[in-house]
Amino acid sequence: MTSARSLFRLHLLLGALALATVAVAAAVTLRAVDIAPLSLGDVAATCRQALVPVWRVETFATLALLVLAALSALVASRAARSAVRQLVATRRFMKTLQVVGPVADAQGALLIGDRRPLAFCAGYLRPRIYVSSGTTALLSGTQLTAVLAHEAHHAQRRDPLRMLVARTLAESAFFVPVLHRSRERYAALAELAADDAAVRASGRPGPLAAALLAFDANGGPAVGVAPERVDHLAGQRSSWQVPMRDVQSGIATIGVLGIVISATALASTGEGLSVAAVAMAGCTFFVLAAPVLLALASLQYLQRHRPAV
Amino acid sequence: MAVVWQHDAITVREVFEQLNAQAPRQRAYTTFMTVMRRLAAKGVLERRREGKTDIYCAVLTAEEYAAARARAGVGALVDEFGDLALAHFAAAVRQLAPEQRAKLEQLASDD
Repeated sequence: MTSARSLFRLHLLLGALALATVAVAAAVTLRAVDIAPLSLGDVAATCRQALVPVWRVETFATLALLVLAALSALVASRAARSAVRQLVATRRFMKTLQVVGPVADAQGALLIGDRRPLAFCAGYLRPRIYVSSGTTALLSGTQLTAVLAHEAHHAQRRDPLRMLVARTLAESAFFVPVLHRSRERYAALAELAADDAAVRASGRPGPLAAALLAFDANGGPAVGVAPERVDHLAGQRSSWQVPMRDVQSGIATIGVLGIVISATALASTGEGLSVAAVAMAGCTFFVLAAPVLLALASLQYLQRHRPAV
Repeated sequence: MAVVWQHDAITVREVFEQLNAQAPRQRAYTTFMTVMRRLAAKGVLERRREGKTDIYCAVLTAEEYAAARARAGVGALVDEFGDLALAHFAAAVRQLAPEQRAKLEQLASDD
């Protein structure tokens, strides 16, 4: 069985490798930028040259640099959007809650005035446990202890921060899709590990099971118990294996990207990303791609304006 | 949607006239146009162009639409919850199946 810790490490390594490679791409791109201004006449002359395209290595290199630049920008923007989205959503959610005071007999746990059964751990650097008054009304003393022990495990592992990082990595390194699965799996394993901690704290699975039943019955939409937790509580061990094939193809993708970056860096010894080079590359690309683009555009136009049946 | 279901196919202008006639508040033509375009983009309406006007028809029946909205409500909640960087005690979409619940009840009897 893959442990939560080792899965998280795998996810982190793969994601970090992907992002580091993109960072190298960005560096290569930036290094090649040459903002010496060019007169309009020079640009026109370059484009005229491009009408009879002469494929040189430098043109390929410039095109590759442009693609790498676009990729870096895309990954960076996805990372920023993902992180901001999660942070904002979490903050907005927390603002809707009213902390009423500490939970009796539970060090550090905070009570929220809310009739819904809520129990969660939030906070990135110093996570706190939050429990609603609906929960304390719903559960018995031993059951509440089990829930608090479950959340305390999340707090100790800093799981909210791990979720944030894991999700940002998965969403930014979109070209390694296995990261989405490893993130989801880590979340599930973290729940199982927290359940184990609750069982250890209670000495038996009963209180946790009762608490889970209470939440399942009274929670409403988006509150539920994953079936795997029940099986795990009953002693069954999950048979989930790391999808090694997908991890390998993720690594291969990163490898190919690395090769492309190296080749580009080596080939773009000349103009790199100067205005002339970009103009030349752009013109050459369009001269060759123009017929294809025109055909695609015509197809789309015809599809949108097809005569009514 | 109610207006669209009354017709086989309808234009924005027809919806605009009908709804504004019944509504206490008058809305702009462009409002209806935007909403109907968005519904078409989401697959709720199908859009067809005849000359310069767009003609819309409903893709789903009223029952299918209601069911889809109920599912979307939960989906939106899950998305909202999904974006939260928190660790919930019980965060899953579906209620437990009866066999799982029975298993849990058996374990809980030892409380």
